[in-house]
Amino acid sequence: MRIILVMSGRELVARLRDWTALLVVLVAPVVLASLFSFALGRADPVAGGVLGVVDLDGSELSAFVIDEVAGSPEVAASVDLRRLPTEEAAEQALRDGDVEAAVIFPRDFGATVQRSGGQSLTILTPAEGARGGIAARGVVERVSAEVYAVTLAARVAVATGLPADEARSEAERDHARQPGLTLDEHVMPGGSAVAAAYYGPGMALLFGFFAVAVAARSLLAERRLGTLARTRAAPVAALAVVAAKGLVGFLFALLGMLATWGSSVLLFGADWGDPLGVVLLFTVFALAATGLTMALVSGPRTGGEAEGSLLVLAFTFAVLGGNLINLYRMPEYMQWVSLLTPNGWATRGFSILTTGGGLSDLGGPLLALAVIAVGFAAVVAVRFRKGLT
Amino acid sequence: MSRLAAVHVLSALVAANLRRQGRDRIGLFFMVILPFVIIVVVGLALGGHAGDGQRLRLGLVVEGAGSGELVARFAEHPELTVVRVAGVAELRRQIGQGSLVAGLVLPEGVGDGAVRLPFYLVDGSGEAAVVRNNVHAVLGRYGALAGAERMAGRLGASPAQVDLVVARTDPIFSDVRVVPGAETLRLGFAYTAPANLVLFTFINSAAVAGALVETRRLGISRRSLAAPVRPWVLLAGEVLSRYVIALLQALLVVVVTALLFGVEWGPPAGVLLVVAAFCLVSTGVAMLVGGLAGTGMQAAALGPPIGIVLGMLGGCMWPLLIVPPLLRDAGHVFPHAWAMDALLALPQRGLDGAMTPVAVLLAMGVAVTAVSLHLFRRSVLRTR
Repeated sequence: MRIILVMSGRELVARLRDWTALLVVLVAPVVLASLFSFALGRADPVAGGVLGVVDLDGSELSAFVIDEVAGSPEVAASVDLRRLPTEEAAEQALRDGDVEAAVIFPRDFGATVQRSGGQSLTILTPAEGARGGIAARGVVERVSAEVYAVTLAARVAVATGLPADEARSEAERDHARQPGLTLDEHVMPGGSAVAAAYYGPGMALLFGFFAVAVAARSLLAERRLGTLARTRAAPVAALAVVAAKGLVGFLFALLGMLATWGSSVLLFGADWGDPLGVVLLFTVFALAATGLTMALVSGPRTGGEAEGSLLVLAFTFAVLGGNLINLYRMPEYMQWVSLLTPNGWATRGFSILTTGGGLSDLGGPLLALAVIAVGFAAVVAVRFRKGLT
Repeated sequence: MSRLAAVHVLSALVAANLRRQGRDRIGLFFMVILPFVIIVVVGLALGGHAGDGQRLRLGLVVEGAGSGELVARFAEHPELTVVRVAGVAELRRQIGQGSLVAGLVLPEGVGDGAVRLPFYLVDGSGEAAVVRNNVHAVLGRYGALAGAERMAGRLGASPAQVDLVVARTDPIFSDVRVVPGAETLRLGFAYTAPANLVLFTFINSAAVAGALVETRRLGISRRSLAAPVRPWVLLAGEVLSRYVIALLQALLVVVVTALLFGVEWGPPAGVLLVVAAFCLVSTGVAMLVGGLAGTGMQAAALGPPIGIVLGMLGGCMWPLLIVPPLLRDAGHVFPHAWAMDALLALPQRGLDGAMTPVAVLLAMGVAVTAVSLHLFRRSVLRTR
């Protein structure tokens, strides 16, 4: 054990002399995690973007509806309104990218609604299913439901003999008094802190592999230069060198992940959940990444092939494991596929922690990662005996 | 050295480098497999073929009987995908993870009239705001009849009168019209295909810089000068080889995604021009790294992280339309953002809409390649 520690110490010093190691282990994951959090934390500011409104009617009702929409903070959260003079101007604004959709109030809007309630508002959209169009339709549907409710009640009142104006006022008063089913909003935390709590672990996991690869590359270099074979002349167990390099890789991975965690807490106020759970997940994931990486470089491959394989491994696992894109927005079968990777298990673990779970809920991810770590450590032991030189 | 001989040497160099690249199985994985894996995975997550929009996922917790009609109305909604969830804790968990946009609880007695329904959403989510509008609309239409009946009860109207009014009163409806040639945010495969073209053309170019460093460090280029070959022919051979590899990578993404995923890239001449300009930048950067990096290991270790960072800033990971203006401006310092601007503009506005980004890319490409050639030439020819 002492030999392994001494060799690890020397290896650590040698690696730290190379500034690229620090860049890959510490700087890159922190920068990438911060960029992800900053960009995606407010990636969803106003879903529908700018909505153009054209009032060709100019009636009291159309003006009232537009004012209601413009003044509603809830609607403002889904679209920004911009008034436009004509339908042609709205089309041009769409072509220029100045608005993402537009709603046209037709000339006889107010009169038709008063007469029969039914009226068609035209929504101009750049494409079927475009975000702006969907948001615009949501606004129209919401306003339309309110107008419909008041119109229906007013027409019932008119049917009982009440004058139209009085009936409308009565209906509006009744609607305001008894709005029926309403929403009791429970706002959950969002923004950069939440994005950082997802993409922070994601970047930490991706760069966990890159960090181990720094030590693995040094092993490949020693094998290429023949120094690995020469150490066998010394009274050192063959696997001691591998264990020493593995230990450095493990420490690098752990260090990088801790730095990413720290930066996401300090810069974005992210809450990754139970700290003990986070550290446990880091540790077991770093062990799994070390086992996998060392197993990859232990085979009878050329240095170039093994180096390339490290990148392939890191990228493939990160993509499939949901480190670059939210795993839970992928189709369900892709969420199952992610379980073939340690990154997928770790991502699940971090999701459990960030959504309020504790250590007791981490059994599955921790066990899966531990099995991967132990399994590949055994592979390393067997393969290095054969291919050490 | 005659011009014919120079061309012969040049083509021999390019052929040798292409053969070398072809034998590199890992390099081929990064060129031929990984881009398409990412295009498929990210494309599916962003809606696949679903144009630029996805149905919004609303979680529904039904706590009591009597809400069947309301549930049916939500299920029929054209913009919403309703997911039944077992309880509030699970609803909150799924919203927190991002698999649901928002969640609604239908408690016991929801059919009785005035009830406040718990609605869960993430702070600042625009998508949730859109869902909220649609939820309000469904609840409003559902409650309209109850309001009319309430009014009838108070003023003494008969049920037959109410039925007649309901039959004669139509709601306001929306008539959606698509405006040809309008700008729209591209998502799904239409977005991930150009994004990964840019990302991988650059990363793979940066990756071959490792081989350039080794060529330089081992003195292969310098020794080649012992042959009757002019230095500029050697340099041109190196540049052309990297350029051809980058071009092949980019065109592979264009052809495969057009055939397999039906991605519309726009006018072929425009696509070729944009790709050619971006490949020039990528090649220039590869030569620059090849001339500056101390060891091949350094170049190999730094290439992917730098490529990812520039890709993120340039809109290869997410559309620049959704990021803060500061980040959008920062992205345009690098070529990726200009390449994405050009590739996203081509299908909608043709080459005319992509001229500015193409001009910027060409200028960047010429400048970087010129500087890198100078540096690489100096480092290759330097006697030690």
